[in-house]
Amino acid sequence: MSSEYVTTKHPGGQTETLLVESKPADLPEPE
Amino acid sequence: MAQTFGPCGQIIVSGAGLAPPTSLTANFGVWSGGLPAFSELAKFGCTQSAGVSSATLTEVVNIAGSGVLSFAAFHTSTATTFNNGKFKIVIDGITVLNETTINASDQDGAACAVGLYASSGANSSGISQEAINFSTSLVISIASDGVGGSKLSYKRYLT
Repeated sequence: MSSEYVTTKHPGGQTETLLVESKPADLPEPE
Repeated sequence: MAQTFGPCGQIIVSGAGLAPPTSLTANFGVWSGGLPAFSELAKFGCTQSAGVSSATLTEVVNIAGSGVLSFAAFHTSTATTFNNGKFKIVIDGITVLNETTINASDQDGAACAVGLYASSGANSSGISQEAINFSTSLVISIASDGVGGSKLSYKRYLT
């Protein structure tokens, strides 16, 4: 499982960067 | 210990033993199977990082700003040959924990530096490692053994 960094900016001005598991890419819509 | 006077005549004392943040090395403990369901910590508001398999320290959380770290635990992996996992906490630019020898005997357990430690053994016991403030930054890094997927679970309040 691959991972990626996600950064959240909070209302208090803090920024939080967390290593999370990557979500699988969306499957294409069926024709 | 240095002693100076402030602008209103107050005594200002400073010394290595008083300067925050305090080292968490003495707070470090290990569950030995006492925390079998690491993922269950999410039910208590903990955030869990993605798994890290690298043997090199990898930053898993970085907060810029102020807050309180109330829980932090390291999950080894399910590997049976796990050796030398690493768990590092840096608060306001100062390393307060730098463990480098978390081993396979801690499999499916966790190493706790902040927050509640509880034993589920016959002689059950518990101790709450006190929460710790951070003023400008909190950075936590972990490393696995190059094979297993080690994870961090943590809980923080922003202030």
